[in-house]
Order: sequence, then structure tokens, then C-alpha cells
Amino acid sequence: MNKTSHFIVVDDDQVNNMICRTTIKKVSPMADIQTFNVPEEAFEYISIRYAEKVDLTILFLDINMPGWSGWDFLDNFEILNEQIKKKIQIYMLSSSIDPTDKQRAIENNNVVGYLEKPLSIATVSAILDVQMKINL
Amino acid sequence: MNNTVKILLVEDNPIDVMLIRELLKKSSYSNSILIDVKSLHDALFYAKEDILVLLLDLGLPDSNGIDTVRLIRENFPDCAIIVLTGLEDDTIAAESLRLGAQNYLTKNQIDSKVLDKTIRFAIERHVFVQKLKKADKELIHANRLYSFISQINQTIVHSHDEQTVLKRACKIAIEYGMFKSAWIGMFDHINKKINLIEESGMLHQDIALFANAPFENKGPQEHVLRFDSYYVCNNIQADPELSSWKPVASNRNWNSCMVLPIRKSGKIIGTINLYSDEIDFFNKKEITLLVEATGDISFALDIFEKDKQRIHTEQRLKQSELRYREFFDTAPEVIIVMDAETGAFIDYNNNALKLFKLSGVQFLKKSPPDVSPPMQPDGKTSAEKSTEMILAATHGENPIFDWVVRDSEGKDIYCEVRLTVLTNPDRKLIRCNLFEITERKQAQEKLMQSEFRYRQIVETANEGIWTIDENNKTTFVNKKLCEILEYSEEEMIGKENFDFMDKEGIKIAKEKITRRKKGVSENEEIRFISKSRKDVWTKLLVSPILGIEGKYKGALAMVTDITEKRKAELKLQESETFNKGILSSLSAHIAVIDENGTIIAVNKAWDDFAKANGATSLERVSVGSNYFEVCKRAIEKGELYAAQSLAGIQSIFKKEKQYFEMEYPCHSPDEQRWFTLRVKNFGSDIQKVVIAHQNITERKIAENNLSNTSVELQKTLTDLNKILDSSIDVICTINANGEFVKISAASQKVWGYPPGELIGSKFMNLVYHEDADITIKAAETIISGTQIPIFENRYVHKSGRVVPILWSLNWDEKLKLMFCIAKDITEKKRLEKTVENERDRFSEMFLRAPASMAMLKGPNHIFQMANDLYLNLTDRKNIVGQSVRDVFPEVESQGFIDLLNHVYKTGESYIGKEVLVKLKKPGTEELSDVYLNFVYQAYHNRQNEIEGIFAFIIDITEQQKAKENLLATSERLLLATTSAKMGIWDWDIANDIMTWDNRMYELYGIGKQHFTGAVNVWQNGVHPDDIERAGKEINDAISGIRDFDTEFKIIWPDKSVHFIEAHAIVSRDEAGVAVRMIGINIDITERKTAEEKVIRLNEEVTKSEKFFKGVLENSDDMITIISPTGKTIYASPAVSKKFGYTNEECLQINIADIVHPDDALIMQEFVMRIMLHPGVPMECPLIRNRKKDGSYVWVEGTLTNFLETEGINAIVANFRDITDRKKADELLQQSQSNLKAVIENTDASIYSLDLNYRYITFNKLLHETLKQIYHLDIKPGDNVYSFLDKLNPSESKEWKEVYSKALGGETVKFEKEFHIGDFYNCSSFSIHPIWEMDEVIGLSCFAYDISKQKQGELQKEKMTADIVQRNKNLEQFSYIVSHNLRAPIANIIGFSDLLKSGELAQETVAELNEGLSTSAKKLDEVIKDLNHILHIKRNVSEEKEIVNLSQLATDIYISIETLIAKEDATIVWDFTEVNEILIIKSYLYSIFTNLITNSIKYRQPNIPPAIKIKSFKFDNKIILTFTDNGMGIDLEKKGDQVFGLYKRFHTNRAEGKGMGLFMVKTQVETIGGTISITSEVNKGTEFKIEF
Repeated sequence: MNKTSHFIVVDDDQVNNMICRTTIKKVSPMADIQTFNVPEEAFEYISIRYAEKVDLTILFLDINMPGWSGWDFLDNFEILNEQIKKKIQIYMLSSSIDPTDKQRAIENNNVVGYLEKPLSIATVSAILDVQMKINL
Repeated sequence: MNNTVKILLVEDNPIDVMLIRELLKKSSYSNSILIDVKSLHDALFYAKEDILVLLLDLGLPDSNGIDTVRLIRENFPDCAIIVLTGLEDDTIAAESLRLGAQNYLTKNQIDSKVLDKTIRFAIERHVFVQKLKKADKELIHANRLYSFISQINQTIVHSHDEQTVLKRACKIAIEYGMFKSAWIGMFDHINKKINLIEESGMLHQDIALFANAPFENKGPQEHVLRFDSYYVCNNIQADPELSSWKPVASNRNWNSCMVLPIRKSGKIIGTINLYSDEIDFFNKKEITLLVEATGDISFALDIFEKDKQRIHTEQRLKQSELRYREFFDTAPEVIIVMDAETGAFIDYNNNALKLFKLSGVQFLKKSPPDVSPPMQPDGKTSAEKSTEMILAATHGENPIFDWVVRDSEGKDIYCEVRLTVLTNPDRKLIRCNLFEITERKQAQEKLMQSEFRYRQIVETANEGIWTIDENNKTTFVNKKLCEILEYSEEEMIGKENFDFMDKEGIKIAKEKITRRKKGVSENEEIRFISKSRKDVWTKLLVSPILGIEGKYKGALAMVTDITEKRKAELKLQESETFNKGILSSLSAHIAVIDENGTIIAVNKAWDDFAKANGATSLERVSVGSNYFEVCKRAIEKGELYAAQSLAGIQSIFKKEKQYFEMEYPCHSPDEQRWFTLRVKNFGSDIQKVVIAHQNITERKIAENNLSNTSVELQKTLTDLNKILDSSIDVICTINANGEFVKISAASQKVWGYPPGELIGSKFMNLVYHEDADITIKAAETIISGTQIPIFENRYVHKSGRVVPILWSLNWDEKLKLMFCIAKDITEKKRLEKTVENERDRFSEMFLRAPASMAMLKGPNHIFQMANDLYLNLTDRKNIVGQSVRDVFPEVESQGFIDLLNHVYKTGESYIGKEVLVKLKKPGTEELSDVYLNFVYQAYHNRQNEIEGIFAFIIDITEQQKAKENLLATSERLLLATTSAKMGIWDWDIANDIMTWDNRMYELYGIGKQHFTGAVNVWQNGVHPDDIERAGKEINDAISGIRDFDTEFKIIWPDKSVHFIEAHAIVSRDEAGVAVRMIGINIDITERKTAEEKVIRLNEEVTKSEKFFKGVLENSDDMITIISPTGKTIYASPAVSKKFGYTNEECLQINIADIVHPDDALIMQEFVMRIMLHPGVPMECPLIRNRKKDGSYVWVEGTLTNFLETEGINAIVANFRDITDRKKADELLQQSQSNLKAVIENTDASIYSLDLNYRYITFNKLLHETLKQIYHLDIKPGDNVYSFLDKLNPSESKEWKEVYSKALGGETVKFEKEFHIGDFYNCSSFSIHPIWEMDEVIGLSCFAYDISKQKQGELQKEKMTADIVQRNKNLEQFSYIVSHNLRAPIANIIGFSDLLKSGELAQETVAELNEGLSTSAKKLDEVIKDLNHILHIKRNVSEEKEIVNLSQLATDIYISIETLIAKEDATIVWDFTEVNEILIIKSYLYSIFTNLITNSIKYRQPNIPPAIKIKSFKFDNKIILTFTDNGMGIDLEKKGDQVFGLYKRFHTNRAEGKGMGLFMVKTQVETIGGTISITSEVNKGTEFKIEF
């Protein structure tokens, strides 16, 4: 937990973004958290910043959004180069209980997991545990 | 805020109660009602009061601590609970909050402000939670309903039958609809009962209850039935109508119930009954959805019903297929289906199994070579040929060929095979039709054999065969005809038959051909001219060759060469003439009479005699008159011989005698005549006799003379007897025993014995022993009749001296005595020793010569002596001493005296051969012709001087005469005999001298030099086979047993065999001894050969006749020949066989009598027609003829009027019994009418077309359908093309292609839809080619109307699609709803969790609380939206009204004027085309508002919004367009989501919720319109609404 972990949250719902931020901070107070209301902007940020930065980052991605949906984001993400993609671990974070959404997420290679809102402390802990183990 | 709330204070401490009351009074809740209780028990009393806030002390007398909170919470679920405690225990506080308390206050904390805030906060929180709960409940409710409907719909989609759907519906009602119980019952209107179909969640006894219950008068089921609508009761206990059910409902905890109708085809058939334990369970929403769900079920039932019908139809189609199968199986031919690739059999009909004698299982393992012999008759192997044929078939040919199959028992069967490719999408199949043709093949082979035989016959026939065409040009000739006419086939073909005839022949032939053209067959004899210009006589059997309709197409002639026959006939004629000639030339008078005595024939001699004898009229004695009468007349005249001859003739007729002969005198006044009468049978004809009178006068006279001489001799002898003894020579008589009978006295002197000693002794005793032999011989000779007048021997004298004796002897047969004169010539012998030799020779010549001899002496030729023969010959006596001139004065002029003088003078001998001498008969002047062979020879005396002439004469007169006669005849008939090759012979039997004319030598193929004149020469020539018979026949003829009329074969020296016909007449002497035979030989070799040929031909003709007769008699065709009066002249056996009449009865029948009365008129007309068309075979119409048993037989036939045809003169009728066929026809007709009934009653349109696309037949249905759709009134014969041409070109082309494809032999099946105006039809067509033999002769077309099925299918498809779409929408809706509901809830949970986690900065907590509040608000909005949507979706009951669009737009403009002003927007509208719409106004208002505000909301940042609204009509629809210049939407990306709920596209517009367009679309669709969008990013958007 000492290590600085990196998070990106993409959701048009400001309230959710706040919950995420607070929850992550609760688990990892030193975490670097970037929140985006507009997925296009998040994508732009990633494609530019992650071309250089090497930090492994966890990305929470909402599905239902105006403009790009979470799926649109994933479609665009797919065409990024592997170096970038390797650094981003995407978790779908959605209030949708539509099983087709869940299925679709699992089938996407770039998606690590599917989380139902709200993001809980336990979930974040578990994700970080997993990530640590991966890093070790 | 109205603070009048009910607050319950649970506090056992009265001070605390007071404190709270005081504090409350100071709070904003001063007006509220505070109820205080001291115990939990008391508190629970208020559980059902509308307590809003409950202030709870944890330490109560009857409860303590945290349990109090739990119990209160349970009993006051809707209260806001604030825990009041004296303890500041965080654990209890946290636990209380967890259990549902709203807040937690320690008593020492409390002041009025805190209490006020806490209560308010609690209430607010409570209200919020209540709202949340309610929303959750509604959500569950909504989810429950939607899942219920969704499940029902899924069931409908996935089920195919009523039962499943109903069964599932009950289950779904319980599982997904959360109903307590559900059952489905069907009305049984007859028994007024409900049949329970399905139930779920029911108790067993209840099921029985419902199932047995009758409809109630006012029960829910009855209600449904009566009002045709659902029944709902939301509080069973309170409903008076359900009084009787109340106890049950109460027991089962049913509080609400709903009964919904289940319909089928619009009619209520049952109900679905739903029960809930909740009161007021069925709200409006619920009811609407349930009605819809049951509506779906009903619809599904209809669909199933239609499916059922469709399945039923399919089954019927299958049955029809089965029927086809049956047809296939029962087809009379063998049908096999093969795989084109492998040749394996894959299907067969029953006949196939019968043919191959195989079971179906066995059969399917086979392929063609397995059921065939290794080789086919054409020399190919079966495998090779089958492959070849299948290949041909797959290339589109339809091969037909002969094939031999071998059945399982090894029997070979000839078949004709046809292969047809069947179109099958899976694999290529070949249909193989087999027709057994074994019989045909055998018949064919027989025919071929017969044809071969026939050809052999034709080629080797002795008859020529000749056919000509209608122009008389030769079309065929056989070898024989070529031989006959000596032309080659090439020379004849193409030539007219007239080219082979002479002018006369052509004239006859042309007449005949005219007759031929009338259909007449006949025999004729025609002469042709052969190539070598010879006449060829032929017999022709000519038949016309008639083409169809009796047109003359030529003729066929059977040609027999009868030239030889003709020649033979001619010869026979000549021969007859000749025989007659011979007969006539015979001197005998011959007549043939019959048993009545009528003279049938006479020869010339007869008539001549009659004339010569002064017959007053020849009629009296010649042909035609009666010989018996002649005799009788003679008897009357007293002619004795007549009676004798009459008796003799009659004895022949009476067969008492074979032969009768008598001699009779028939003296004429100036002449004495004798005749012989000979009567004998006329050959084999016993009814006729031949009478021959022969003049025998001369013989008779001679005989008489002779007898006279004898008498004189006797006298002389008697006289001599007296002077016997005075003779110096011994005169004696010796009897047959050689004993002396009488002897003269001279015996004493000559032999030494007196007569007395010698009489009675044998003369041989006296004969000198050396002469004994010659003496015996001489004696025998003499006794046997041969005269030896002078004989010399030596006797022994009594003294022993040998005395030479010269005997003169004469044997008298009658007296049986030898008269002898014995002269002692001892002296003479001695004296005349020197001239002994000469004397001996002379004596020998003179005495022994069989010829006539005479000695003449001196220059005057004085007869010195003449022997008896000479005297006989010359008919002179006592000539010795007279001169020749005296004796024969007549011969001097004939040169004989000169001849004698010459011989006498010169001494040269003269030999005359066949010299005619005319001698006078003594006493007459008549000269008779005598033919002589003679020698005149001079004899000399001792002085060697010519003393006289010795004449040696053989009379050959008879021979010569016969010869001359014959020669004369020969000359006369030279031509005839030449051609007839007739030879004449004459046989002198007595002398065995055979005389032949020149022709005879030719006949026997030998030269004259080889003929020795003896009979045995002839015998050598006769064929060994015939020699014995011929010899016997000659002997018979000689014996008089029968005439010599025979035939025999002879062999020429060159070994060739010739046939001879021989006739001869035997002449007899007066003793009846045959003396002569005169006959003729005719070479009949050619005739014989010809005859044999004729016989052979005749045999053949007979055979051929037999053949034709056999054919005629054995034919099944009834051939009758009918006279002009209708009478049957001939009826072939088939007639009697068929009709049961005997042949005799047949001949009694008049054809009109047995015609069925109903057919009589037809027959009459037909007979008239025949009469008008002679010679033309005409088909008789079908008529019935009566059989003997009274039943009728259908016959058809061909009748030909030959009445004018010579030789026939009748009507020839050829009938066939077609009763069976007729019956079959009737059956066919019946079956056709059955078929027609079927065709007319089927629900298919049926029609058939001929090759020219004309309707042959069609059923009523087709007729009506075409009338209805195309206003077309078709008739049979109408051309379907003329109809097709009226259709649009593509359809017309399509049909024509279909028809021409079918005419190509393919069955075409397809479905076709017709849209004509409002009319819709879909039909399944199948167009079948109609095969006859291997040709398509038309099409049979079937059209099944499958519109209903199709519509049903389409509807079902559409409905299914609708349901799927709706389901998807519902799912989508529920997901979206849940997402949007969940989002704020999740946030709330998130906030709660974070808040609970503690350790938060103060500002963070505030932030979280703010977020919590925002989320709650958002949740509230979502729920409101949902309500709004549901309201729109289901509230269609609002009344439509006429809305003025301009007014509406103006109203909206005013209402949002502020916004318009703020955004600087412009709105223009144009409703000039349509200004008023009948619509739900509130919806249209909402639509307008939403679209306008949207356009303003999503404006482009720097361009003032401009909105245009326009209405117009297009295609009967009202169109509204809303156009703006806003941001636009990228439809490519988002097009499918534009109208989705909570779909937003513009990220930076917080205003958008994603509800607007969803609402618009929902509203538009609810009122039955559609909405569409066109848009371009940064340009603008246009919405188009159609109503």
C-alpha cells in the first residue's frame, strides 16, 4: 500500500466519480486518481500520456455515457499500441445489471473485470492486492 | 411545512414525557399530536394508527435495549423512529440505526432545537425511505408484470400448441406474475359447465370445486361471457356479487381476482382466472397488461388453430402424395427409380417386384446389371448398355430401348425401357418405365421368321410377285418374275406393267386397272412378252393396294407362268383331235352309247356306212338317236341278229359280260356282207359302251370258200377211196398214235406187207432206224399244224431192203388223221442221182419257203407249179400249165411280163421291193392292191439253158397298206405330230413284225439302223419301272381285257428319261385272236413336267387358300358377307363364337334384325352411306348387336360395299367385339365423372392445357377465380396466351417460361402471390406435363389457394417479429430503467458505505452528504419519468379531438417565449396545407414542445437557432416536419439510439436527460404514427412525423 498506485475513472456521472475518488483514497491515500466525465477526453489523455509514462494504471470505465459509450471507448482503445494497452487495466464499472453487458465486457480482451456500482473499499483493496501480486 | 403530525412517545419516565412535550411545544412541531405510552405493549396498540414519528426510550418496563427497536420497527414499518436514551452508548446507537431507527438522541442532549431538527430530519429521511420503498415496490410490480408478459410471449413464441401455452400460462402466472393461484377453464355450453384445463397454485379440492361448478348467474365467468370483457374484483370479501365464494377465498387468502376471456377466432372459449392475496391488486396498469397478455394468448390460439389447419392441409397434401404413391404402385407398367450416379434402384412399384420376383428389400440392393442377363441382344453387356443409356438420359434424352431382364428365377423377359430424368434437388434420379414385350418380341420373332419364310417363299416362289404403284410403275418384282419375263430386276423397276405386254394385253390390262381402282381383286390370264420376245402366258391374282380411305395406291399381282400348261393343253387338244382322226380313219364303224341306248358318239365310218346303206336319216342311227330303238326296229323287221346283238349289248350294261362279240350277216340287196359286232365297256366308264361293227365280208367269203373246198375234197376222197388201191403209190392214213388206219394195196409191192398186216401197226416200225428221229420230228411238226407236204425217209422192206420213200403228207386236225402218199422212189433216186442236189434245193426252196412260190417255164412263162401260198396270194386256182399272161392279164400293163421276159432273156435276177401289184379278183373287174416283195430268178436246165423263171413272192400288202395309211395320216397331221412328238407303230402280232414311222425313232432317241423290228427292242427302251406294267397292259389289250391306253417312261440310249403316252387298238381275226396292234406314242415329257408343276402350284395355291381360310376362320374379327338384302351369306366362325348362333343360324340372320333398337337409326344411316361409296371401306359407328342369349355386344367394324364388284356382289363386313372396351370406356367415363366430381369439389383450381396453350378443361373454381380476379370468362379452347398477354410483361414472361418448361417434360412447382388492388391471393401452383407414350401432349395444372395460410404465416411472422421486438423493447426498457434507477441507488449505497466507514474529513462528509442528496433527487426524477412514460404508454383512452395546428404552435410559442428570447431563436411554421388534425391534443402538444425545445437545446453555439415547422399531405397521410439548424446528430454512429430512453448524444449538455425524443416517439406511436429523422452534424436536423 505504500506504493503510489494510479487510477483513471471515466464516467459522466460526477457523483460516481466522487465516490470512486473517495473510496480509492480510503484504501490508498497516496493514489494518483484521474477522473474524466467525457470518455473522449480520457482517451486522448491516455494516448498521449501513456506513450511515455510507464506506470501501471487501473481504469474504471462506465458503460452508459452520452457521446462515446464505454464500448466506443474500448473500440478506440483496441487500436492503441500494445505498449500503452499493457499499462492500462480496465475494469468496467456500471450500474447496469444487464447480463449481456457483463458478458460483452468479459469477452473483451482489454477488460480485466466487471464491477457493479458502487465501487466498494473491499473491491479496490482486492484489485490492488491482485495488482501487487502481478507486480511482484 | 405543515407540522401537524402524529407523534408517539414511548417513555415510561413521566418527567421525560413532560420534558419532551415541553420541548415539542417550542419546536416547529407544536401543533403535532403527541401520544405518549409507557410500555411497548401500549405502544403496539397504536401500530395501525398513522403515526409519523415514534420517539422511543429503550428502557421500557416490558422491553429493554435494542430488542425494543427491532419490535417497534417491525410493528411500525412506516414510522420514523428516533431512539431516546439516557445512555451515551455508541454500540446501541449504531445497532439501532442499523435496525431502522432514524436517529439516536441522548436525553441530556435534547433541547427543542435539537428535537425539532431531529424530528424533521427523521421525517424527511423516513419520507424519503418510504418513497424509496414505494418505488422499489413499483419497480418489482413493473418487473413482475413485464416478466409475466415476457414469459407469456416467449411461451407463445416457443410453443406450437394450445395446451402448452395454457399450461405454461398458469405456471407463469404463479412464478413470474406473483399470483397466488391461477386456473384456466373452458366453457362447456352444452352442460353449462366449465372444463378445467390447467391450474397452478390451487388446492386439490378447489380444482374439483371449479371443475364441477355450473356457471353462476352472476359469477365472474358468466360476466365474462355476457359482457365479452374481463371481470375484476379487487376486494373479494367486500364484493356482494361473490358472496358464495367468500368463505373459500378467505380460506385461501384470495383477496383480489381477475377473470380474463380466452378467445379463439374472436369467440370466447374459456377464461383465465387469477387470484392474488393482495387487496386492490389489479390496478389499471395491471389490468391493461393482463388483457394484453390474454389477448396475446388468444391470438396465439388462433395462430395455432390456423397452424392446425395448415398442418391439416399439409396432411391432405401428403395424403394426395400417398395417393400418387398408390397410383405409382398400381401403375400397370413397371416403374423403377434409379440413382443416376450409381445406377442403384431406389424406388419401385409393385409391378417391378412382380416382374423381377424379388422382395422390396432385395430389390433395393440391385442395379440394372444385377437383374439382367450378362449380355443384351444387341451384343453389349448389360452393364455397358445400362451405363450408356443412363448417361444418355442424364444428358436430357429420353432413351427408349429394348432390354432383357432376368428375374430371380432366371427367366428372361423382354422389355421396352424408357428413361426419364427426374428433377430432384438432392440428386439426379432417373425414372425407368418397363413394358414387358416378351409376347411382342416373340410375335416379332415369329413374324420375322414368318417374314423370313415368306421372303424365302417370295424369292423361291414359283409364282412371280409384282407390285405397281398408282401410276402403274413397277415397284417390286421377285426373282421368279424376273425369270419368267427374262428381265433383271433393275430393268423392270420403274417400268410400267404395260411395257411388258402387246397391244391386246395392254387393252385388257387397262380395263382391269380401272376395276382395280374400285378395289376389286381378281384372277386374270394375261400374256406378256418376254425379253427374248417369247409369249409368256401367265395367270395373275391381282389385288389392289389401297391406302387410307380406300384410295388406290397400286396393285399386287401373283404371277404364275402357265405357258407350259397352255402348251400342254394345246397339245392335249391336238391329241384329242388326232385321236378322233384316228378313230375316224378306222374302218370299223364305232359308236358309243349310254345305258339308255342313246348314241353319244360315232366315227366317220359309222356315218359313212349309214349313208352308204341308205339310212333314211342319219338322226335315226347317228349321234343323238337311240341304238336300242334301231335294234328294235330291226327286230320288228325280223332280223334275228338284232335281238341277239341287243341282248349282247344289254348284257354288257348288266355287267354279265365284259365283252360281247358276234358275227352277223347283213346282206344288202346287191351284196353279201358279214359283220362282227364287238361290244365292250367304254374304258372305265361303265355307263357307256363302245359298239364296233367290222365288215368281215371278205374274210367270211374266204372262209366259206375254204369250207366249200373241204366238202369237195371229201367227195373227192370218197371217190378216190375206190381208186386208192389201184394206185402204185402207197396211199394211207395214220392216226395220232402213229398207227396205220387205212392203207392201199400198193403196200404189198412197196414194203412187202399186205395192207391187212399193216393196219393197226405203227408206221414207225417200218422206218429205217437212221431216219427214225427225223421221221418222228416231221410227224410231230405235221401234227402240230405245220405243213410239210413232202417228206422223204427210208423204210425197211419185208425182205430187209431199205426202200427210199417220198411222202406227201397232210394232217387233218379235224379227223385227227394224217393222209399220206408214199412213193417208192428207189428207182427215181437211182435215176435222178445226178440232179439230186438241185432237186433237193428246189424242193427245199419250194416246199419250205414261207413265201409264195411259183415256177414259170418257157418264154411265155407257163406256170409249172405254184404253191398254196401263191395261190392264196393271187386268189387263183389251177394255174399250172397256163401262162402268166393268161392267169394275170392285168399285170402285163403293169410291166411284169416285160420284167419276166427280161429275166428269161438275160438270166439276171430281179428283186422287187414293196412293189404294188394290182390284181383282179377272179370273176370281177375290180383290181385290188397287193404289195409284194419278190424275186424273179431264172433257172437253168441241164444244158444250162434258161428253162424258166422261179418266182419267190412275199405279200406285204397289209403292212404296206397300214404303213401307207399311217404315212398318209402322218403327212396330214404333220404339224400336229411334229409338235406333239407323236409316233405311230404297227405290230403284226402273228408275225411279230413291228413297224415304226420315222417319228417313233425320234421318240425313242435311236436311229433307224438300230431298230430290228422286234418287240423286244421296244421292251429294251422302256424304263425298268414300267416294263412289267406296260407288258401286262399290252397282254391285257391283246387278251381284250382292256384297251391299251397308258403312259410309261422310256430311257434313251443317252440315259435321259422321257414320258410316253401310248394308245393302241388291237385287231383280231375272226377267231378273236389278236393279230395286230396299231398304236401311237406321244412324248409327253414336257406336258408331264408342266403338269407336275401345275400340280405343285395347285398344291401351293391350296395351301395358300388354306392359309387365308385359316386366318379368316381363326381370326377374332367377325367377318361377314352380307347380301344386298341384308342377309348373311358368309359368317366367319368368330361370329358364331361371339354371338352364340350356330353357323346355320348366322346365315338366317338379317343384320338389321340383331341391331339394338336404339342403334337402328345409326345403322340405317350408315348403310345408306356405304351404298353411296362403293368399294370404300368405311368405319361403322359403334352399335350393339344382339347375341343369341338376348344380351347385346358392342361392335365396331369396317364395311365395304362390294355390291358392284363382280365376283363378290356383297357387302363385306369386318366387325370387332368391343364390348369390353366399351365397358372399359364406360368405366372410364364413370371414373372420369368421379374424377370430375373430385375435381369440382376440390379446393384447388385445376385446369389443363394442350400443346397450343389452349384450355382443354378447367374446374369451376378456376373459372370463378379468374372471373373474380381478372374479370375473365374463360371457355375451353381459349388460349391462355391471349390472357397472359394482358398481364404485365414480366408476369406474362414468367408464366410462359413456366408453361414451356413444363411442356419440356418437367413438373414445375412454385408459389405465387397476386396483389391486384385490394385483392390478395397466394397460390401454390404445380404444373405437370401430361405424358402420352413418351410425348408431352399437354399440361395439367393445379393451383391451391394458400392465401389464408400465407396470410396466417405472414401475420404470425409479423406478430412474432412484433412480439420479439416488443419483448426486446421491454427488456431494453427494463434494463434501462433498472440502470437509471440503479445508478442513483448505487451512488446512495456508495455514499452510505463511505459514510459508515468513518475516518472522514468534515468536508468530505459534507461532500458525501451533498452527493447523497443529489443521488436521491436523481432517483426521484427517474421514478417520475417512469411514471410519465407509463402514463403515456397506457393511457390511450384520452379522447381524440380536432387540433388546430396554428393555434397549438402559437400556444407553445407563448409558453416558452422566455427561452426563445434568451436563446435568440426564431420559429416559423406553415400549416397551409393541413391545419387541422384529429388527434389526442395533449400528446401533440408534448411532441411539439419536446421537438422545439430540443432544437433550441442542441443549437450550434454561434448560430441563433432557426426552426421551421411544416404540415402537408402525402399518400393519404399527414406529414409534419420539424427542421432546425442545430448541432445535428451523427446518425451513422448513433442512428439506432436516437429515440432510445435515456440516450444522450451531447456530452456537455447537462440539460439533456435522454427522455425527450423517447417521449416523442412513444407518443407518436401511441397515436398510430411514425417518426423518422434525417440529420447532419453541424448542419441541422429534420424530424418527420407521419400520421
